[in-house]
Amino acid sequence: MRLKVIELVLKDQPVSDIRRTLTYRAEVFGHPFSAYLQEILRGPSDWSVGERELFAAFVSRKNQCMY
Amino acid sequence: MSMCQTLALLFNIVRLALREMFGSQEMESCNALAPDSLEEERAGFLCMRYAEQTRILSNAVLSSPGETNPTLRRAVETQAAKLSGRASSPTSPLPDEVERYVTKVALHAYKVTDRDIQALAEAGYSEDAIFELTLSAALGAGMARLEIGLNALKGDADATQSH
Repeated sequence: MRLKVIELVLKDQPVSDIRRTLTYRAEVFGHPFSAYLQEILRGPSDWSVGERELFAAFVSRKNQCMY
Repeated sequence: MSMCQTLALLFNIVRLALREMFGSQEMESCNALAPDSLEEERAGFLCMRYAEQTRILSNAVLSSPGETNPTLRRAVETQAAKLSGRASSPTSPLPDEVERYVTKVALHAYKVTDRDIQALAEAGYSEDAIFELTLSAALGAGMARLEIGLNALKGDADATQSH
Protein backbone atom coordinates (compact mmCIF):
# COMPACT_ATOMS: atom_id res chain seq x y z
CA MET A 1 0.00 0.00 0.00
CA ARG A 2 2.66 2.50 1.06
CA LEU A 3 4.70 1.49 -1.97
CA LYS A 4 1.69 2.28 -4.16
CA VAL A 5 1.50 5.74 -2.60
CA ILE A 6 5.19 6.35 -3.28
CA GLU A 7 4.72 5.25 -6.88
CA LEU A 8 1.72 7.55 -7.27
CA VAL A 9 3.57 10.53 -5.83
CA LEU A 10 6.55 9.92 -8.09
CA LYS A 11 4.56 8.71 -11.09
CA ASP A 12 6.25 10.97 -13.63
CA GLN A 13 9.73 9.73 -12.76
CA PRO A 14 11.09 6.24 -12.93
CA VAL A 15 11.35 5.00 -9.34
CA SER A 16 14.68 3.35 -8.71
CA ASP A 17 15.00 0.51 -6.24
CA ILE A 18 17.41 2.67 -4.24
CA ARG A 19 14.76 5.34 -3.90
CA ARG A 20 12.14 2.80 -2.88
CA THR A 21 14.42 1.36 -0.23
CA LEU A 22 15.20 4.82 1.14
CA THR A 23 11.63 6.12 1.13
CA TYR A 24 9.63 3.06 2.13
CA ARG A 25 8.96 3.25 5.90
CA ALA A 26 11.84 5.71 6.07
CA GLU A 27 11.89 5.81 9.88
CA VAL A 28 13.05 2.17 9.91
CA PHE A 29 15.97 2.64 7.52
CA GLY A 30 15.93 5.51 5.02
CA HIS A 31 16.21 8.44 7.43
CA PRO A 32 18.90 7.12 9.79
CA PHE A 33 20.84 5.54 6.91
CA SER A 34 20.78 8.72 4.80
CA ALA A 35 21.98 10.80 7.75
CA TYR A 36 24.82 8.33 8.34
CA LEU A 37 25.70 8.27 4.64
CA GLN A 38 25.70 12.07 4.43
CA GLU A 39 28.09 12.31 7.39
CA ILE A 40 30.45 9.69 5.96
CA LEU A 41 30.46 10.85 2.34
CA ARG A 42 30.18 14.63 2.84
CA GLY A 43 31.04 15.29 6.49
CA PRO A 44 34.41 16.54 7.76
CA SER A 45 37.18 14.13 6.79
CA ASP A 46 40.81 13.95 5.78
CA TRP A 47 39.61 12.24 2.58
CA SER A 48 38.17 14.28 -0.27
CA VAL A 49 34.59 13.74 -1.40
CA GLY A 50 35.90 12.19 -4.62
CA GLU A 51 38.11 9.73 -2.76
CA ARG A 52 35.24 8.68 -0.52
CA GLU A 53 32.95 8.17 -3.51
CA LEU A 54 35.66 6.06 -5.09
CA PHE A 55 35.89 3.84 -1.97
CA ALA A 56 32.12 3.41 -2.08
CA ALA A 57 32.17 2.51 -5.78
CA PHE A 58 34.95 -0.02 -5.18
CA VAL A 59 33.03 -1.72 -2.38
CA SER A 60 29.87 -1.81 -4.50
CA ARG A 61 31.82 -3.42 -7.31
CA LYS A 62 33.18 -6.03 -4.89
CA ASN A 63 29.61 -6.75 -3.80
CA GLN A 64 28.52 -6.93 -7.44
CA CYS A 65 26.13 -4.10 -6.64
CA MET A 66 25.22 -1.63 -9.41
CA TYR A 67 24.68 1.24 -6.99
CA MET B 1 48.47 35.12 3.63
CA SER B 2 45.31 37.06 4.37
CA MET B 3 43.73 37.33 7.79
CA CYS B 4 40.89 35.18 6.61
CA GLN B 5 43.16 32.34 5.44
CA THR B 6 45.11 32.47 8.70
CA LEU B 7 41.93 32.18 10.73
CA ALA B 8 40.71 29.31 8.61
CA LEU B 9 44.03 27.54 9.03
CA LEU B 10 44.01 28.06 12.79
CA PHE B 11 40.46 26.84 13.00
CA ASN B 12 41.36 23.67 11.16
CA ILE B 13 44.37 23.00 13.37
CA VAL B 14 42.26 23.41 16.52
CA ARG B 15 39.54 21.23 15.06
CA LEU B 16 41.99 18.46 14.18
CA ALA B 17 43.68 18.66 17.57
CA LEU B 18 40.35 18.50 19.38
CA ARG B 19 39.31 15.53 17.32
CA GLU B 20 42.52 13.69 18.10
CA MET B 21 42.24 14.38 21.83
CA PHE B 22 38.57 13.56 21.99
CA GLY B 23 39.00 10.43 19.91
CA SER B 24 41.82 8.95 21.98
CA GLN B 25 40.17 9.70 25.32
CA GLU B 26 36.99 8.09 24.18
CA MET B 27 38.89 5.00 23.09
CA GLU B 28 40.65 4.62 26.46
CA SER B 29 37.54 4.97 28.55
CA CYS B 30 35.67 2.46 26.43
CA ASN B 31 38.50 -0.07 26.62
CA ALA B 32 38.44 0.29 30.38
CA LEU B 33 34.75 -0.54 30.40
CA ALA B 34 35.05 -3.90 28.69
CA PRO B 35 38.51 -5.39 29.23
CA ASP B 36 39.12 -8.89 27.87
CA SER B 37 35.44 -9.55 27.40
CA LEU B 38 33.87 -11.21 24.38
CA GLU B 39 32.43 -7.83 23.52
CA GLU B 40 35.82 -6.13 23.48
CA GLU B 41 36.02 -6.10 19.72
CA ARG B 42 32.60 -4.55 19.37
CA ALA B 43 33.17 -2.12 22.25
CA GLY B 44 36.30 -0.86 20.50
CA PHE B 45 34.37 -0.38 17.31
CA LEU B 46 31.46 1.37 19.01
CA CYS B 47 33.83 3.95 20.45
CA MET B 48 34.70 5.12 16.98
CA ARG B 49 33.66 8.41 15.43
CA TYR B 50 30.36 7.28 14.03
CA ALA B 51 29.18 5.41 17.11
CA GLU B 52 26.11 7.58 17.55
CA GLN B 53 24.94 7.19 13.97
CA THR B 54 25.60 3.45 14.13
CA ARG B 55 23.52 3.19 17.27
CA ILE B 56 20.63 5.18 15.80
CA LEU B 57 20.64 3.10 12.60
CA SER B 58 20.81 -0.23 14.46
CA ASN B 59 18.00 0.76 16.79
CA ALA B 60 15.80 1.94 13.93
CA VAL B 61 16.28 -1.28 11.95
CA LEU B 62 16.12 -3.71 14.86
CA SER B 63 13.72 -2.08 17.31
CA SER B 64 11.28 0.11 15.34
CA PRO B 65 7.67 -1.04 15.58
CA GLY B 66 7.06 -3.51 12.78
CA GLU B 67 5.59 -6.81 11.77
CA THR B 68 8.47 -8.93 12.99
CA ASN B 69 9.49 -9.32 16.60
CA PRO B 70 12.66 -7.34 17.49
CA THR B 71 14.06 -10.56 18.97
CA LEU B 72 13.82 -12.24 15.56
CA ARG B 73 15.36 -9.20 13.87
CA ARG B 74 18.27 -9.24 16.32
CA ALA B 75 18.79 -12.95 15.73
CA VAL B 76 18.83 -12.30 11.98
CA GLU B 77 21.34 -9.46 12.44
CA THR B 78 23.58 -11.66 14.60
CA GLN B 79 23.42 -14.57 12.14
CA ALA B 80 24.23 -12.36 9.13
CA ALA B 81 27.14 -10.81 11.04
CA LYS B 82 28.45 -14.22 12.01
CA LEU B 83 28.31 -15.40 8.38
CA SER B 84 30.20 -12.26 7.42
CA GLY B 85 33.02 -12.95 9.87
CA ARG B 86 32.09 -11.31 13.18
CA ALA B 87 33.42 -13.41 16.03
CA SER B 88 30.46 -13.08 18.34
CA SER B 89 28.18 -14.62 20.88
CA PRO B 90 26.27 -17.79 19.92
CA THR B 91 23.33 -17.27 17.60
CA SER B 92 19.81 -18.41 18.33
CA PRO B 93 18.33 -20.76 15.72
CA LEU B 94 16.23 -19.22 12.93
CA PRO B 95 13.33 -20.82 11.06
CA ASP B 96 14.69 -22.73 8.02
CA GLU B 97 13.24 -20.44 5.37
CA VAL B 98 14.56 -17.35 7.18
CA GLU B 99 17.99 -18.94 7.62
CA ARG B 100 18.21 -19.66 3.87
CA TYR B 101 17.22 -16.11 2.99
CA VAL B 102 19.56 -14.50 5.54
CA THR B 103 22.47 -16.58 4.24
CA LYS B 104 21.81 -15.37 0.71
CA VAL B 105 21.50 -11.72 1.70
CA ALA B 106 24.62 -11.86 3.87
CA LEU B 107 26.92 -13.72 1.48
CA HIS B 108 25.72 -12.86 -2.02
CA ALA B 109 22.87 -10.39 -2.01
CA TYR B 110 23.13 -9.96 -5.78
CA LYS B 111 21.75 -13.50 -6.19
CA VAL B 112 18.45 -12.68 -4.46
CA THR B 113 15.53 -12.97 -6.88
CA ASP B 114 11.75 -12.64 -6.77
CA ARG B 115 11.63 -16.38 -6.13
CA ASP B 116 13.32 -15.95 -2.74
CA ILE B 117 10.79 -13.32 -1.73
CA GLN B 118 8.00 -15.58 -3.01
CA ALA B 119 9.28 -18.46 -0.87
CA LEU B 120 9.14 -16.31 2.27
CA ALA B 121 5.68 -15.02 1.34
CA GLU B 122 4.48 -18.60 0.94
CA ALA B 123 5.90 -19.40 4.37
CA GLY B 124 3.58 -16.72 5.74
CA TYR B 125 5.76 -13.63 5.91
CA SER B 126 4.16 -10.36 4.81
CA GLU B 127 6.00 -7.93 2.54
CA ASP B 128 6.68 -5.67 5.51
CA ALA B 129 8.09 -8.58 7.49
CA ILE B 130 10.37 -9.50 4.56
CA PHE B 131 11.46 -5.85 4.32
CA GLU B 132 12.42 -5.87 8.01
CA LEU B 133 14.25 -9.21 7.76
CA THR B 134 16.18 -7.99 4.71
CA LEU B 135 17.28 -4.80 6.46
CA SER B 136 18.31 -6.72 9.60
CA ALA B 137 20.37 -9.17 7.57
CA ALA B 138 21.99 -6.38 5.54
CA LEU B 139 22.78 -4.44 8.72
CA GLY B 140 24.50 -7.44 10.31
CA ALA B 141 26.48 -8.24 7.16
CA GLY B 142 27.52 -4.62 6.66
CA MET B 143 28.47 -3.93 10.26
CA ALA B 144 30.52 -7.12 10.50
CA ARG B 145 32.53 -6.07 7.43
CA LEU B 146 33.05 -2.61 8.89
CA GLU B 147 34.22 -4.04 12.23
CA ILE B 148 36.67 -6.40 10.49
CA GLY B 149 38.02 -3.54 8.41
CA LEU B 150 38.50 -1.25 11.40
CA ASN B 151 40.12 -4.04 13.42
CA ALA B 152 42.49 -4.74 10.54
CA LEU B 153 43.48 -1.07 10.59
CA LYS B 154 44.24 -1.39 14.30
CA GLY B 155 46.53 -4.32 13.44
CA ASP B 156 44.35 -6.95 15.04
CA ALA B 157 45.78 -10.26 13.80
CA ASP B 158 42.61 -12.24 14.57
CA ALA B 159 40.51 -10.06 12.34
CA THR B 160 42.83 -10.46 9.37
CA GLN B 161 43.27 -14.22 9.85
CA SER B 162 39.59 -15.03 9.83
CA HIS B 163 39.25 -13.28 6.48
